[in-house]
Amino acid sequence: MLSIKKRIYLRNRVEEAIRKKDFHKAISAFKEGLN
Amino acid sequence: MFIGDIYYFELYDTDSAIFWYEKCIELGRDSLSNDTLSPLRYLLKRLSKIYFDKEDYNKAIKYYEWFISFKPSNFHDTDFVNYAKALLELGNREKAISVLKMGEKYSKSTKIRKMLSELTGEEYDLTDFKRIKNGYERIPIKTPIIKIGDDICEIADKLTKGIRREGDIITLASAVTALAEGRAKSVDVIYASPLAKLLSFFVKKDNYPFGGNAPLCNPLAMQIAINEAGLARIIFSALFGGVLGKLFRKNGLFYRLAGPQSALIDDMPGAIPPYDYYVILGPKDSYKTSLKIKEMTSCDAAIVDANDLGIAWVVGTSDKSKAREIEEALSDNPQGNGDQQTPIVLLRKVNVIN
Repeated sequence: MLSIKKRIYLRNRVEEAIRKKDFHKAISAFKEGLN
Repeated sequence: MFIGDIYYFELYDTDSAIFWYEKCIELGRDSLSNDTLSPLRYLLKRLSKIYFDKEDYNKAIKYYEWFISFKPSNFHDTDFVNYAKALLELGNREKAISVLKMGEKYSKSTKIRKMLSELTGEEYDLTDFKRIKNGYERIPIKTPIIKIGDDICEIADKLTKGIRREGDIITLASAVTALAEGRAKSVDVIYASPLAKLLSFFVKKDNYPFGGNAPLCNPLAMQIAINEAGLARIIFSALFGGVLGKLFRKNGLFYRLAGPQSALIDDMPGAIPPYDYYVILGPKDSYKTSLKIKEMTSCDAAIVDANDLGIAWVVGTSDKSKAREIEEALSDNPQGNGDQQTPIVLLRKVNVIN
C-alpha cells in the first residue's frame, strides 16, 4: 500500500494529465503507483 | 479501477477498460467486499453495463447478479431495466419480471414501471413526477456527464438556450456544481483519521436496501467534514449537536453547528460513474455562481441540494427572495443527478392553482 503522500502526489499528476487531455500520461502515473 | 475509468470514460476503449476492471477484481479477490468503501460495487456497476452494451448478456447477467446481491445504493433504475432486458434476451422472462418488481418496490422510476406494465399487462402509474408544483412548471434538462473542470455556468447557458424564457429560474444540483468546480476528492487520497472513524461510527445508519446512509457515516466523508469545518468545530458539533440532538430528539443539530459545508458533503456512491468513487464537497460559492449564470442568461439561478426525503435546500441564488418558493417547488427532487442525468431543472411560473 502506498503512503498517503505518494498517493496524493500521483493523483495530482494524474489530474494534471487529465486536464491536459494527455490520458496516456495519466495511465502511466497510475501504473507507476501499481509498481 | 481508475486506469479502467480512463480507458472507458475518456478513451472509449471498452476492451482495455474490461481488462483493468477484471484485473482489479482478480487481484483483490481476497480483500474486496460489499462494503461501500470497497471498490467492488463500483467495478460491478461498470462491468455489468459494459457487457450489456456489448450485448454479451451472459456476462452482463453474471455481473448484475453479483451486483444486485448486495442491494447497493448505486444499483439504479437503468441497472434494473438493463438487467431485466438481458434476462429477456436469454429467454428468462420470469426472472426479468421479478427483477423489475424488486426495482419497482425500491425506486420511483417510471422506466421500471413502464417495462413491467409492458411485460405483465398490469397497470402501473406512469407519471414521472408532477409537472407543476407550487405554481412552477418543472422542466428537467438532460446533460452529458459533467466532469471536473467543466464550466457549469457555460453548460447551464448552453443547455437552456432555446428553452428558457424570461422569468424562468435555472436551478442546478449542488453536487454537480461542486463537481465541476473540482470540489471532489477521489477516495485514494483521503486519509480517514482515527477521530473521523470514531465520529462516523456514531452517525445513524439506515441501511435500507438500495438506499444510502447519511454521508457522514462514511469515515472518509467525515474526514472531509473535519478538513472543511475544522477539527474544533466538528468536535464541538458532535458533542453538543450530536449528543444533545439525540437526547432532545432534535434532528440535524450537528449539521447546523458544523456549518453548511458539512451538510453538503455527498459520499460515494452518490454520483454516477466515473465520480461514484469520490467524496463530493459542497460548491465553493453558490451565490457567485448563481449571479454569473444570471449575468449570462438573464434568468435567475439557484444552486439546490435536494434529496428523496422531501427536502430541498437553496444553497445559493441570484434572488434570495425566491429561495423559499424554489425549495417548495423542488422538494420532491425532480433534479436527477443519478442515472437520469438531469441536474438542471428550469422553473417556469404558471398561473395554475396547485
